[in-house]
This record gives sequence, C-alpha cells and structure tokens, in this order.
Amino acid sequence: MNQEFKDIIRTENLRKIYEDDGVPVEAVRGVDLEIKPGEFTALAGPSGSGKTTLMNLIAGLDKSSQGKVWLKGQELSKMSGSQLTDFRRDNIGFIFQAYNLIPVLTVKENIEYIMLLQGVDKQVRNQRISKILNMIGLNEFENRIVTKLSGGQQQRVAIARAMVSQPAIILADEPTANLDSANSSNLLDMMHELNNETGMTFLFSTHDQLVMEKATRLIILKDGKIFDDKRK
Amino acid sequence: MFSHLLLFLKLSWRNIFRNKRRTIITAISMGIGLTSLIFTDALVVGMKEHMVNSATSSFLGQAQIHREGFVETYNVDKVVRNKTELINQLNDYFEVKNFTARTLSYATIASANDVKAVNLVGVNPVTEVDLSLFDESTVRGTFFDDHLRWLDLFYNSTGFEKSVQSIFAKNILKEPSNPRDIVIGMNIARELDVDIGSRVVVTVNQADNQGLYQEMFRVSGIFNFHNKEFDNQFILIDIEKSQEILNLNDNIHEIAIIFNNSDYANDSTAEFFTLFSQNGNKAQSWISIMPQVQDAFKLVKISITIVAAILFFLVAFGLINTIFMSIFDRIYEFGVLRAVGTRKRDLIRLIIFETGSISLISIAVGILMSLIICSFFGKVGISYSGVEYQGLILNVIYTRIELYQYLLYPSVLFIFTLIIGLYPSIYVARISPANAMRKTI
Repeated sequence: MNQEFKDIIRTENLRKIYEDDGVPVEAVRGVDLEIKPGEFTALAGPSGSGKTTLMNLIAGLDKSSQGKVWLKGQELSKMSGSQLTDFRRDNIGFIFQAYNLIPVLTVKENIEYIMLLQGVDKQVRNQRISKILNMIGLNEFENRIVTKLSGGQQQRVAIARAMVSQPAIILADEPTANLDSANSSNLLDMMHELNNETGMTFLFSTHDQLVMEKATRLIILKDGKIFDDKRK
Repeated sequence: MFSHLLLFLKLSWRNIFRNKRRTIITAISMGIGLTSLIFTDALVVGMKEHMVNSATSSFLGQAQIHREGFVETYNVDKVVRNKTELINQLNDYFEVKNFTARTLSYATIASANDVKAVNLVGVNPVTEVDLSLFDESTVRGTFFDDHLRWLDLFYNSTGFEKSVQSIFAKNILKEPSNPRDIVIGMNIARELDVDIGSRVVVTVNQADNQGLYQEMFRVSGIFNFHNKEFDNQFILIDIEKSQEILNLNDNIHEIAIIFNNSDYANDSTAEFFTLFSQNGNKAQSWISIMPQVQDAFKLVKISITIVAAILFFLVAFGLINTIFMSIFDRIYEFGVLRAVGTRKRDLIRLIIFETGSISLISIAVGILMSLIICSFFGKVGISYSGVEYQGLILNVIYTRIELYQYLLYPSVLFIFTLIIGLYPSIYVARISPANAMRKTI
C-alpha cells in the first residue's frame, strides 16, 4: 500500500470495452499510468481517443473491463458503492466543462455543498468559504444564485467547490472549453497557483492548447492508448 | 446532521419551483382529487344525517317498543305489556325527550268508488306531532284538530310535563279530536276518489278473534309524504277510536320514542334497550327496525373507499409522472451530484422531500378548495327532492364538514405520496454517474 502511494493515481493494464449496438468497442486499451502527488497533468488527444473514459475510470465513476486503478494507494475495485462515493467526496474534486453547479443554490451554498455532505463544522465551513471566495475574487457574489453569473464566474465557483473540501486530486474535464481565452488563461493561472500553494494533484482532460502549455506533464492518448507522455 | 437535512429540504423546495407551471398544475390536480374526496365524504355525512333524520322523524322515531313478535306478524293481539307502567317509566327516563303510543293493524278502506288494503294507525294527535311528519305533510284539511297542537305548544313552552298535557287535553278540554276524523295518504285519496269531508268505511279484524268490524269515518286531512309507502298505505285515526274498533280496550301496539341525544339510539347496548325489553316487550333502535338504512350506509362507506382508492391512484400516477418528468430534465445533474459524493440515500431523501413538498402544496390547495366548496353546499344544499331511497324521502342535502375529513384524508394522501415517491427516488439513486453524464467525467 505505502509503496503504491508514491503515485497518487496509478492504473495498471486498464481496459474498457463498451457495447455499442451490440458491437464491442474498446475505448481504453491497457493503459498503465502513474501520477505523482502535486503533478499538474494534461491528458490530451483527439475526440474518441478515450480521454473521458479514462477519466471516468480513474474517478471510479465507471467500472473497468480489465485492470486496476489505485487512488492514494487504495484500489477502487475493492471498494463498495458507498465507500467509493465517500472516497470521491473526500478525495476528488471535480471540475466540469459545463460547470455543473446546482442551479437553485447560491454561490456560497454551492461551495458549501460538499462540506455539508462531509459534515464539516459550520465555523470551519464559513472560514473556508470566505478564504476561497477571496481567492477566486467572488466575495461580493456570495449570495447570488449561480445561474445569474457569467460563464467565467460560474467556472470559478466550480473550481472553488472542487477545492474547498481540500481533496488530494482535482479531475477537470475540458474546464476551459466554454470560456474565452482571457478567462481561460486567468483560470489556469489560478489553478496553477493553487497547485503550487496546496500541492493538490491536477489532471485535466483537454483539447485546449493553452492548458497543454501550462501543464507540467502532458499525456497524449490515441486510440485508447498512451501515445506520448512528457514531463516539462 | 441537521444542516445536512436542511440542505436537502432547501434543495427540494427550490427544485420544485424550477418548473413553476408543472408544479402548479400538479398541485391543483392533486388538490382537486383531495377536494373531491373531502366533498364526497362531506356529502355522504350530510346524506347520512339527512337519511337518519328522515327515517326517525317521519314516523319511526329513534326507538320503538313493541310486544315481542308484533313487528314480524302485525298480529293485533300482540299488544304492549304493562303499558301504564311503561309510560310512567318513559316519562321519568332522563334520556327520553318525547314519545307517543300507537295502535297498528291491517285494514281495508272503502269509498263509494273503490276499496283498498291499508295500514291503520291509531295516533294520539297531541303527542304524534313530536314524533312524525304527518302533521307537517297534511296538504289538505287538518291533522285532526289544530287547536290541540296550539295547546301542546303552550304547554311545551310553559314546561308542564307530558302527562299533565295529556290529562289536561283529555280530561279538562274533553276534546282530543273528533273520533270519526280520518287522515289518509294522498294516493289513497286519489285511488278512492275522495276529498276532505268524504265518507269512507274502514274494516278491521278485531283482537281476540272477534271477527271483522266496520266503522264509518269522515276524511279530515290528506297528507302527502312524497313517499310511496306512506302515501299509498297509511290511514290515521284517533288512538282511542282505534282501540275501540280493534277491541283492544286501552292497549297499544307501539310506543315511538325520541331521545334528547339522537346518538343514544345508535348504541344498541344502551341501558334503555335492556330496561324496556322486559315482560315480553322489546325495545329496538331505529337501526334494528330499519336495517336497510344501516346497510345503505355500509354500501356508501364501501363506495367512498373505492372512490378514495381510485382518486389516490389517479393522484399517484399524476405525481409519479410529474416527478419522472422532473427527474429526466435533471438526469445529468443527478449524475454530477453522485460524482461529487452525494450518497444514494441523500438522493432518495431529495426526491422524497420533493414529492412531500408537492404533496403539502396540493394538500393546502385541496383543503382550501374543499373548505370553500363544502361550506357553500353546507349552506345552499344540493336538492335531492323527489328522490326516495330505501323507503326514505330525500330532500335538500347539506354537506357536513367534519374535523376527521381534514385530518384523515390529507394525512393519508401525504403518506401515500411519500410511499409512491420511493419509486422515482430509488430510480434516481440507481443512476450510474458515468451514464448520466455520458459526455464528460
């Protein structure tokens, strides 16, 4: 276990075969991957290369057809459904392309959501919210319903929600896809800064050249396999 | 834990207003269902009350005392035993409000034009008015002598005891009524082609096998109950005259009673029925005399249960449909919630809370609507005039609001919706986050 924990994310011969109209489609073909704690990694590749499937498998949102995934040294396939849910809640922060905030909640309530699931004390919750709102620069929008914010502001809230519970891993799926280049650059700088400050591990799935440039490690997927893997 | 619950309560409450129109339509349709149920119940309660009132106030009374076996045979020899003692007891019995004695027998009535088989009732005109509606239903002529009823009213208001009234009427005025007066049903009058003042001959079979006896009477009143049984079959004469022609001496066949509290008659185990069912006499409540009315109530109760079940199922399917529409609109969102660490039981809780919230709004709508509608028809009433059911005349029925209608039905609806809300909530809990989100993580 301790030996495996050297890699915060580790996959071994990971495969995923889907049935598409009765025809088996192999989306991920034997991926072996190790990501060290604190890495700022971009997972790039053309559409259909298996990025999303690989991210789903790493997050424990989907079950592999073959192979294993370890997160923080724990093998996901050995966890029950509720253990996996709690593990995701406590260890993984998600950032989605379409932000996917809870539209009926305010900025503060969205950020607070995961901490409430975790049962974090109210005082601690308020301290963390206040701190993260300062970091993302949305203090004045604390009580605003999230759907009233711009896309860039919503993505900032999504980042805050992902990070406020202080997970070890942030999985971000095309986080800049719906943003203009200025907003994308700002967000990436902010995430980079947070990565440096907190040591959280970031794994991006992306098409965005800017993300690839900012990443400290770039993994290229092609036809469900790792085609290239470079550390900068 | 509290803030956790509060979060999902807040979420569910806000979620149901994401599509206001859908929620409002669902709440109104469910509210209409609840209103229908409460209104039906209120109508049934009103109808029951009306039927009981009709059954007991038209002729039957709330209880009757007969000689055992009289009701089954109508045998004129089966007279009430210890009549005087019984009447004294009834006068003193605290639960008894009014009572009247009667003779009952089969008879034939003949005019110059026709002859007809009827039921002859010997009545005391003074006390009969408190027990039956013959007086009020007399549409031509008078129900025996009107001045006796004024006298009765006077003594009622002055508080003299019933026995004093009777003694005064009989012994001081010495004019209970004209002994040859006869009051007959409207249909009998038509069939015999007689009117007020016409002469008719009544033939009876006397007690103690004394054979047939005939006596001539003059029609003094014609009543119209709008009830075939009464209007076709009942003729009324003064009780003393009936005792004479039936050779009964001063015996009687029936004592009809009204209690101070009408519910007293509903309890067949009440002391009254034991106390007055002695020495060969039998005291019965109206329920055992007219079991068909009680059966009708049971039938109505079954009907309302079926109506309730149908309404609840309609409401259930409507609600499931709404919840599923709302779920399919948010399927991606549920995937995200699961992905970020929301447990299955929290999603179940969320959907149950949403179902419960819609249910509570519907209940509020239903209670308000039903209060307005039931109060309106409780004042205005619904006309059932001309309707005869189980031998009872229905008239205007007023809806009757009872507290249980607003406790039982909303509670059942609320619990029922929570139970049916389990199905969509379990569906949501089983959603695979990866399938729900498909295109992304």
